[in-house]
Amino acid sequence: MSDVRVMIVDDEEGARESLSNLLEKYVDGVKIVAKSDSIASAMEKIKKYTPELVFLDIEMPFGSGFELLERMKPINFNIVFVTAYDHYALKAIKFSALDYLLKPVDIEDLKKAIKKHVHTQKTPPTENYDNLIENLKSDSQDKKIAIPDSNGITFIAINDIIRCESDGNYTRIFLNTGKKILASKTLGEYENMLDGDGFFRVHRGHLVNLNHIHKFLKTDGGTIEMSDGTHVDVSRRKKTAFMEALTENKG
Amino acid sequence: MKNLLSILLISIIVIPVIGQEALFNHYGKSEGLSSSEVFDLNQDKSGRIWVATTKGLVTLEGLSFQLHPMNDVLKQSVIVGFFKSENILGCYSTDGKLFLLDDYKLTPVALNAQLQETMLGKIVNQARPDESNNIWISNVIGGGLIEVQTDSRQIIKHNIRGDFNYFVKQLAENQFIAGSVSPVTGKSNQLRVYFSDLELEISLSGNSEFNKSKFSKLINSSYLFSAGAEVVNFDKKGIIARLFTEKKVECLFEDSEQKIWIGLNQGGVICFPTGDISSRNRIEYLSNKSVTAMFEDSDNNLWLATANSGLYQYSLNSNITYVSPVINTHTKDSNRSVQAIRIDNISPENNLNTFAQVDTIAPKIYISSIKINNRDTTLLDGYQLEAEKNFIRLSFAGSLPGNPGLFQYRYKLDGVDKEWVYTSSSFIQYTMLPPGNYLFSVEAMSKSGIWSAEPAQMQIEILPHFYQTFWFQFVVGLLIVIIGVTILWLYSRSIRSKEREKSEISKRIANLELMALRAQMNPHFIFNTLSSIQHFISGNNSEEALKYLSKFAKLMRVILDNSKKKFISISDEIKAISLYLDLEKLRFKDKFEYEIVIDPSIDPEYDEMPSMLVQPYLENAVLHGIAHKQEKGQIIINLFEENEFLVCCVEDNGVGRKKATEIRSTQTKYHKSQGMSITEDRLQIINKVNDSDLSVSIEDIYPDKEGETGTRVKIYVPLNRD
Repeated sequence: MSDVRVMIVDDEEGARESLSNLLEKYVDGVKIVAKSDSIASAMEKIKKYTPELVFLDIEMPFGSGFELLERMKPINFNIVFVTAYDHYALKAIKFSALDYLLKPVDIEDLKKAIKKHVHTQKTPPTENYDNLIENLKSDSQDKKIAIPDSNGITFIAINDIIRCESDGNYTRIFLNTGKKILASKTLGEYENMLDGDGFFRVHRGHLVNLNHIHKFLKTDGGTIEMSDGTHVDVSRRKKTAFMEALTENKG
Repeated sequence: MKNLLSILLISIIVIPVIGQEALFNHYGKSEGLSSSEVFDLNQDKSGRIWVATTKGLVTLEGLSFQLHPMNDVLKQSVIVGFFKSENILGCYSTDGKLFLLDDYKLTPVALNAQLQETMLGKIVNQARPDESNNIWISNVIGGGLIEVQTDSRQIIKHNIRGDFNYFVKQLAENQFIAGSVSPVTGKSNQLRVYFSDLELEISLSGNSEFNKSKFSKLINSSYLFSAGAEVVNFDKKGIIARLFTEKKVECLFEDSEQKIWIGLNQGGVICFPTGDISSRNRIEYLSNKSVTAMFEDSDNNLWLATANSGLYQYSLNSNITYVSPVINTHTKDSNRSVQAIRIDNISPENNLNTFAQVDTIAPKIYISSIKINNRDTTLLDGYQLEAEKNFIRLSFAGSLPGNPGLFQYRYKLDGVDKEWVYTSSSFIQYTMLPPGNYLFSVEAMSKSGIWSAEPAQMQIEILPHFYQTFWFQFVVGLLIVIIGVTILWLYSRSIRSKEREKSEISKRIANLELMALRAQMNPHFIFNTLSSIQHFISGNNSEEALKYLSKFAKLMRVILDNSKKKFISISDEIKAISLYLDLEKLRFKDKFEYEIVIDPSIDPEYDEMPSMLVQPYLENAVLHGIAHKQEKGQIIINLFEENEFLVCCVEDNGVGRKKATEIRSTQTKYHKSQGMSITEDRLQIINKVNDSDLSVSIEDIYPDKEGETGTRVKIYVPLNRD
């Protein structure tokens, strides 16, 4: 098996060197084909060296790493985004089911990222990247989320999600089209991902889109009726926080 | 049984004179009466008076009596009574013979053989004609009733059933009432009603005689029957109601409104407006008068005949009006009971004439005494009484010079009564008069029917209860308003103070959370960690340095992330704890091992706990428990559920709290772990805000054993899963 052709894009030299040192010292089966300190040079070098995997720093002074995506469409290589601390960007990356590393880079995480690339051995479909670009531009509820199910990945506008229901290690996602998707992620993962996008975990087994709540029924503790007519219980513990989230969301 | 009349002729002609005693004309032997023992008397169509005496039948001829010439023929037949109907007057003898009196002629009723046989040896005690002019004979000895047809002089019915031998009344063809008479007392004790299809027996009290009994068929097809002072209302099914009157009954009457009137001998008349004689709803009129007969005219006026007070007229629409005390002397028929029924014979002129004779002096009326709350009180023109003094009894009396007789009264209490209330009682009682102004008026009516010219009056004012006074209600109203306003003010103040408290608490929470974050980002810890990294780098141990560094970075990230939330999932807390302990392990060169056990009862993804809660206790275990220990230490973190609480149990096998305190006290310079006190403060304030019951307990694992040491910290967090 030939080495994975890797390229590093980062404006800071220290970060570039640190990552390349880690790759050379601790990760087998990689070959660093190029390093770049800007989007412009990166585009040239990508064309020139055709890397399989690009470690792309998001925060760069002359154009963020995301710009590269737009300018190099279609992307025919795999990208691992690298960031120190950017909650917003990280979320967008997660939404599009793309890979990322946090600075300072942990050796184990780095190894995992390489392993994942080798194992999947294929460039993610361009729609993942398109989605990322779209999400970075759009408002909260217009964003699309990549939902992995048995048939691959489906991109769903989060506004179309009425609610999510836990089903063991899977999550059942109910859409406003009436469709149901069984996603291969736990409800907790979706809760984390959708946190701040108008979703609320009202119950151990339920995550709801606040924009799809039809009414709040004050029968025994609390039940909400969703826009599709289904009823979801609100747990006692979540009630106060839920009401707050609801007023905040509406306001 | 012989019925001896000891009084003489008092009922033949009775002419009461107003304002005087009744005038009696006396008839005796000097007037030709053969005997002063009189059985019976009656009057025939021509007006002749017939009298049955012990010494034969006599008639009144002019002003004297003459023995009837037939007495010789009668001989052994002693006439003891008369029977009379519209067309016939007859008499009967004790030995069962009947005679018809046709214009002074005495015609025996020829009895056929059967009747002769039946009547043989029987003593007749009564004979009565019915509406069909059939004559009923009843007798005591042998019993039975016999019906004789007068025209044919034939027996048409012979009834000798049982003791019901006294004919009372025929109801219709083949329907009649018979009574039984006690052979001993001669009083009635049983009534038998023969309906065409059934027979009904009615028990009577047995205290009166049938010959004074009255009978009336009512509109509702029931019957009213009286004997003496007993009135029975019955129909085919039996007795409906029974009434015992205080005086003997003189007459029974049902008016067009189905009110029942019972005229009494010297007891006035009782009216039952509902027609139910057992009802308490009864009105008494004309007290002490003897009401002998009643009649209702086409104008719905009731006419009441009295024994010695003339006639009364009662309009069913209003009240009793006194009409005329006179008896029509021109009427040949002087039987007073007949008089009432033939009231139409009295001409208006007559009435007017006699009315003119009526005494016109109006009686005076005065209030004679007053009782307030059952206590005699001095009589005044008016009273102002406290609210509790509302039980008032007023007595009044009418007065007419030279006439101490009885008065009728009418009274009115303005404020209660709209119209006059009529009574024969001379007092009136008001119980529980509500507060208010009242004017009591009373008038008296003389026997002549003249009302007092002026009523006697009394002003009574019942003062309101203290709580009904304006001032009291005003003060109470004011108090309610004040209390309401005060409550509102207090309530709003409490809300405001609660709001203030809340904002203060949230400030304190924020402050404490910041302090907790600082405690986690303990400068000692940070700089110790950094110096450890420096140590690895300087020792060219770059891999360890990298491991250490990335763990440190991860921990910082996790702490920052978690600090944004008030509650974090168990898995997030475990992540932070592991990173922290890993770093401490690196720093203390594997001086201890740690283990985190999550019981399956816990769902680490969903169950939550306040962030940054456990770390201070771990720090304490490491720094003060294990650091002072010679051997390798161990920290075990157990997470499990207990009574719907998440228990986070941290156990170390360090030197124990006592030793740690000793060591600390010997050190001149020591870092005080603020973390734990901050955690305790946070728990308190979280409890206050969320009304929850988070708690921490710290204990020695082996409190009694020397040598074995260790501390156990248990943090209780309510799970509130549903």
